[in-house]
Amino acid sequence: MEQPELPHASQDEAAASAAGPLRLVVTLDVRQGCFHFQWVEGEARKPVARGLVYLNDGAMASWYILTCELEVGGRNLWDHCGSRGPSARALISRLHKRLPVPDDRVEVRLLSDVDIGPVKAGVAYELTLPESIPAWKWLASEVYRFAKLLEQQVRPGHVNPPAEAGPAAALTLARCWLGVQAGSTHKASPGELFAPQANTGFQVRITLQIAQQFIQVDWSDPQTGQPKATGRIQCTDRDELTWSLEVEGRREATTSSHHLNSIRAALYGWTARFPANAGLVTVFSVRQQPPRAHQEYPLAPGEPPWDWLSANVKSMAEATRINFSPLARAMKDIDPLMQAELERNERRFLRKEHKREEQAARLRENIQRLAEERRRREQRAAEAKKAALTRKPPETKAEPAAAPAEHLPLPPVPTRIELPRLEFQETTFPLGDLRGYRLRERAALWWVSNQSDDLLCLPHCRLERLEYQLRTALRVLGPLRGRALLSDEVGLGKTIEAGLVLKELLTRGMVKRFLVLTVPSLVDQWEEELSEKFGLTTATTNHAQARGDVQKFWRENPGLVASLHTLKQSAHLEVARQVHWDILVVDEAHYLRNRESQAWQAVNALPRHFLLLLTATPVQNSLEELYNLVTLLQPGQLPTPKEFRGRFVDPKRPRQPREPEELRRLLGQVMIRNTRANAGVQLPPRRAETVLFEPEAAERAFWQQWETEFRACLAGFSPSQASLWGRLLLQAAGSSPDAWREALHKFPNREKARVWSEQAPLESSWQRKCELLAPLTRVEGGAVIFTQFLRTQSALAEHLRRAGVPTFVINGATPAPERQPITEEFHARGGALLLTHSGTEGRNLQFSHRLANFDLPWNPMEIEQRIGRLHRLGQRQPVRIYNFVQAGTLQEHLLQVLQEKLNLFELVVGETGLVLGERFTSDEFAEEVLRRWREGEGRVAEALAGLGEELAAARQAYGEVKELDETLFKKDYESL
Amino acid sequence: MKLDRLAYDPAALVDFYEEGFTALGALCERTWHDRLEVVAEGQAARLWNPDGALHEVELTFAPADATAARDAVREVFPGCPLTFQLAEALSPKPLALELVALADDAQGSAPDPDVAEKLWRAQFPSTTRWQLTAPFKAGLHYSLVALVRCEIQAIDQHWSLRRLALSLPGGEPDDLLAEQLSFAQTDPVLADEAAWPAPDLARWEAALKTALEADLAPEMAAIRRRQEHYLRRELDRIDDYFANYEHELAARAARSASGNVKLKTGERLAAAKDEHVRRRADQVARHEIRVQPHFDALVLVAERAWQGALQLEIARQPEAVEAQFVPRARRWFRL
Repeated sequence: MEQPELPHASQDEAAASAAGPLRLVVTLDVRQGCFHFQWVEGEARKPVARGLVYLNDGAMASWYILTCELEVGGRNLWDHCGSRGPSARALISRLHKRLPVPDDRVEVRLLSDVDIGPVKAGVAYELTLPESIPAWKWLASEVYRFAKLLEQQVRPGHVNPPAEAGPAAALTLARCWLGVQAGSTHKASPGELFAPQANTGFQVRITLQIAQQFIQVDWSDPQTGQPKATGRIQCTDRDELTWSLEVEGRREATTSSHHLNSIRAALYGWTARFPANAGLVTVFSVRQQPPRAHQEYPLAPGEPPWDWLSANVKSMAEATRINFSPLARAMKDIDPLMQAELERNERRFLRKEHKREEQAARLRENIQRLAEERRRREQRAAEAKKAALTRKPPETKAEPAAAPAEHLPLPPVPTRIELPRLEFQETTFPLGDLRGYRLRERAALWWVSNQSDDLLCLPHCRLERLEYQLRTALRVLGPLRGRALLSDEVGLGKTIEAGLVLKELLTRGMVKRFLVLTVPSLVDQWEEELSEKFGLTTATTNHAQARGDVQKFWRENPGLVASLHTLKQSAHLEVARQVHWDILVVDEAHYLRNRESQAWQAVNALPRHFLLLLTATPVQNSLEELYNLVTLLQPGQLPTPKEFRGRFVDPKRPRQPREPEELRRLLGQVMIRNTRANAGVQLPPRRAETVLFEPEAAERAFWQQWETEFRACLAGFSPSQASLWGRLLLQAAGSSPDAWREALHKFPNREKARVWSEQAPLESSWQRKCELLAPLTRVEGGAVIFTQFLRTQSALAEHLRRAGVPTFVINGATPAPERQPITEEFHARGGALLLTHSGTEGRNLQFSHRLANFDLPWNPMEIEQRIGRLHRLGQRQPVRIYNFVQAGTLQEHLLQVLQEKLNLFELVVGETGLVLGERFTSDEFAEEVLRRWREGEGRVAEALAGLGEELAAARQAYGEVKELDETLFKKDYESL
Repeated sequence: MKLDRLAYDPAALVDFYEEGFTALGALCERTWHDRLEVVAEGQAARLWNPDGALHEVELTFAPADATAARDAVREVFPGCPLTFQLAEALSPKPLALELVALADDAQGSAPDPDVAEKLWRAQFPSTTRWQLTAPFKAGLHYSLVALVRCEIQAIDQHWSLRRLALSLPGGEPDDLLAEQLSFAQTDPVLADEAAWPAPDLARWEAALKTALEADLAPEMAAIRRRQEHYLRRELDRIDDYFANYEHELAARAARSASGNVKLKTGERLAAAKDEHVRRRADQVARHEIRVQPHFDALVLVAERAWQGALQLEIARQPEAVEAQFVPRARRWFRL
């Protein structure tokens, strides 16, 4: 191709930029097939720079199609662009930046060697630029059109040789500018459905009515502009398009399917009838907001619109067919009021979404602010420390510092490829194709791609998803790498968090054997929680196998829940330490606070990969206890005991760390502590009331007599028999006459039992007790009534049913699948739900807020479990607890101790165990009560008062520990 | 060849579910763009009912950014168990060694000897003399393709899917075949003609392990670097701890004149040294990188090849070699 020459320029670039606003003259030269750019200055139009945009010589082999040559200040610069819009825009933008000219100072001219409409050959014709679009933007779009035209011209097999491509493209562009008919620039390829029309056809306007969902095509005369025909394409059924045509007042309509071939056939009918001039096709779109027609430029100049239009008709059909679906029809028939309600809900939902986003944004801001504050704090602390070091002279008495440890060379990281044995089945018949293989490959790829950074185990767990628990589990699995001290406040669900970590590791195949260590009273509870919430079956030290074959118990069960007390026994420990545990979970880890203790030594001896320590009170007396726990997790995380003492423990205030910031930093790498405040768990209060009823004089006298005789009887029994019968009969006496009499049936002294049973005048007080209960069941929501004895439960159920109260009963004999429906019915109808201990397992009753202890177990933990069924997450109302006791009995004194000294009914669920601590296990507490009753003949209240003092002291000690932990840890270890 | 993971896209996943369930014999119907109704019995129903009893469910494919609580029974979402189960149900157990013959693109014409020589020399640059002693004979070349899911357990877990192709009988990796298999055409007639080689388990296992190691090498290098970084940190911490502890004990022994104290301190020092060694070994074991490959498919591939008897001189040593030229790979394989 003959390369066009640059127009002359004489000034340099510096002068150009210094000489004030410039003017740009752009000329489309049809003869040379290029754009001339000339920058001139001042009224005299002194040339400053010049440029040329023309077809790139190597366009066939290169990605760019246009070359831009620029001469500024005697230097020649080259630039290029491709045939894509952004590339052309970028080229023009670079020119604009180099030599900035305001939009109103850009002139465009057309110079042709042939006559084109009003333009005469050899005479420069000045064009008026559209006002709606800035000149530079328009220029960029025209350069892009020019590039597209050139691309068509140099396409392999095109009629024009490359040398003629530039002028041909420039001629077509000039005709487009002037709206003048032209000869064909498009050659039909064989087999093309929509053969390009000679540019003698009609002017076509295509309007995409996006809001009204139809497409309109208007044909008009190119000379006069008179409308010739109007066609409209609209979706009229799930697989039907209607093509209506209006010609000279007559309407015709045909239909087609949504299939592309059908659309193309219908469109072909129109194009055959009304051939279009490819150069005179305009496209508009009308949207809903604002309802105005916008001109679109989806087609290259001269490009026939039919392929593009058929694709658009297809898209429209796909998008609008939904209007003819059954759902859309149903929506049309919907009640206007309901429609309005739906719309209101949608608006509400959008508002909520908006609010949620705002909250999230605020949260992000807060996190950033807090991070910034923390950074500043740390910076200040570091500066203060540095300053202190420079001020303080080195201590002369100090021991020589330890020489820095000689770090041994890093051993190689072991790598093992465990290639499975190649086992396969040979096939006889070869595959006809690879479809089956490809499906399997895709399946494997989805399997791999489905691996998620989220918790994979969640769908397999039956639990309420609480954000702080999920984050804790993710943090333990991630940054803490499976070794953590979980120190959430009581009642926040450390068990759940540990269970999530355990289940996730099992789900991901990273754990095969696990061991949970806890105190004996919680072994069964752990077993139940792991089974119910995580679907994990475990063997426990409460099973017979643990007492029988110790080797088998520790070696063969992949999941174990064991008591720390059992582990400490040498026979068990010897075996357990020979097994490699993938994960070890130690609940109530405050029992490991003392490094010299048997428990600490036993746990330390167990080989383990991951380790979780769970305790709400990691520190009881001094910070060294914390040191011992952390050392178990990560030896070396904290310095040596002596250095730790010297650095962090103040001998005058052993509970206050010396360098709290540094200690928090170190602990933050192994410890997570969620608080109620950060977890957003605030439960309503509990209110306990004592329902006291006076027995009649005869009954009172009988009980006094009976207790004396019973004490005497027990004195003749062996200690275990005395304990069994003492606890059973005394608790049954506080429950119901039926329960007491049933217990008496098996009493060893048959004669006494018969006499007591016959003499007892108990019916009137029983009636009174039941009458006091009935009003509770009649209020809205009913009441949950707990009892220890099945006989009491059945008698009470009978009484309530007779009184017309809806009564629901769950006990150990109720099949598991029936329990939930019974609970739901109680929820719906109210009345009374009667539960025994075994009936409460796994029941969540937070929808109810009235609880009656129809009798009082001698185990505070059991009372706490009863309360915990109602007083849990999701409870919205204060929980009212009604304790039924007969005046002047052991039950009344015991209730007084539990309520006033232990403060049982005010403690948070989980705290009772911590208060009772090591002083009493659940069984020991009942033994203690019985012992004091037996020794305190006639002075039971005084005897139990001593127990009360012990409990009050324990509660106070717990309060101090709790306060200490809150002070020490504040909010710096939260997972959120 | 590592296959890129798929981004979670409900539309693509619906396609996969529909195709997968149909392959398992279930009836599927798209009730909405993001819903698939499945009526499953037998093998397909076992995803829900272990006894394979008839199961009908409308699955909803959650958008990638959905945050609401998910229903693992009726919803498909990133990481959902049903996707794992369906994928596992689609891979045959036990694994089948499938046979397939690839269509010949070269239209059955023998390679030009000059071109063949050039390709040989490019492949074996030490060859000084090359001579074809007899015209090319048409034959078949066999390869083994394995689809392997690799689980790398380090501080965290990595999963990747790899397609490995080995030339038989030598076991040389054929990466080009691994790449081309996605678009390869088959030739059932050729498959019927082929004399399929008998499986050589020991050799195949060794070759697959070598190929897998080579394929994993870039990924493993990054993981190893990270693992070494963590291990270094842990070991430094342990070393510092025990160095300080031993220093304290030594200082204590030096301060005291009592022989008993010195004795006890000596015992403690010895115990600390043992503990130090144990802790280090524990950390090294914790940082082990374990690779657990799982085979998902094994395909024995046959394709047209040209067998040539060659007279070579390599490092001035004359050698007569039987080799196969595989037109698809434009590569020689020694027999």
